[in-house]
Amino acid sequence: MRIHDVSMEHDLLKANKELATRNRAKLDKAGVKALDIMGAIGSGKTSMIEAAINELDGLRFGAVAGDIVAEIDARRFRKFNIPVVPLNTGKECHLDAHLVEHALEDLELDGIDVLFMENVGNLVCPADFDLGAHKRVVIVSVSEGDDIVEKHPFIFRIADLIVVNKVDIAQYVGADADKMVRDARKLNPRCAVIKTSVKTGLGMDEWFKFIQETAG
Amino acid sequence: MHEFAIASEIVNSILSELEGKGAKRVLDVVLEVGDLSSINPEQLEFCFGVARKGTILGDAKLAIQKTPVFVRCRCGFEGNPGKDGEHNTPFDYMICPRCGEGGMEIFKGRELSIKSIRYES
Repeated sequence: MRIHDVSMEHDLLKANKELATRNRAKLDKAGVKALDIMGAIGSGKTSMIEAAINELDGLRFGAVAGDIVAEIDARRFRKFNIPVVPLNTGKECHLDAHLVEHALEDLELDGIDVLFMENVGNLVCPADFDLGAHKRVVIVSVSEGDDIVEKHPFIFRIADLIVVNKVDIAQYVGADADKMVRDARKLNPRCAVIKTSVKTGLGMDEWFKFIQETAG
Repeated sequence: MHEFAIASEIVNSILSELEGKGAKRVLDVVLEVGDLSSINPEQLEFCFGVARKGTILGDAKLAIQKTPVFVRCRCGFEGNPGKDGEHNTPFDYMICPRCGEGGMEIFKGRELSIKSIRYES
């Protein structure tokens, strides 16, 4: 009987990081820009994506709809006649690069300019899992409470765009949207923070502009 | 929230590390978990107990080394921004205790890795 001590230094998130890099390279090769859309359940992720697809006629969109039951969101995107891959995560709380790798196999990337990767509704886990997107967007709504940014700081730190959504109902839910914007700016001073309402159209131009700029 | 997936990854990567090395059983596993990792160590230990069943890791002891946060701010502050080291919220770690600004560079605290293992052959 012999006892062995082995130093491993094995990064448990490394496999995901490597796959994400590979996904990004695949998208780059096909000239596709991808956006990872993160946010809590009911923050308005699907509606914001729908609004962009509806508004930006000049861009060819595709979508990966990640959810516990992804078909429901996938159906909403298919109405726009765009390629959609529903990604059922089952019980998993986030998309990972491995799931996205398979979704990319099912898409004709040559016919897509901008690919939305709608993540599972969650403000914790998706932050740790790069999918291979070019930009990471966090959408948060006033109905989650105006302390939501403070409570989940990490995801806001890694964002390239922070959207404070549903500001039209802030007064009815007693939330201070400006506090949410301040908290987000404090956590991530280099990140653009916008206030939006899909219902009234407020701030939506800035959302569309961000997508156009990402598309290049 | 994805502790079981991580626990399975720990078991699988150790099994593949030991493949062909004649390992009979794993005695110890040392993990490094940063204070800013989204993994809950207690939940991870529980999930590890389930994921290792039926493998040579069945009796392995799991030791979790926690790595304190280390940041650098544009104002010149360097170190751990936590207030008392025990009951900090993640937000406390991300606001500079000297200038009150966020956006500091995080050098340590995000770790999630297998440091080392001890096994018997």
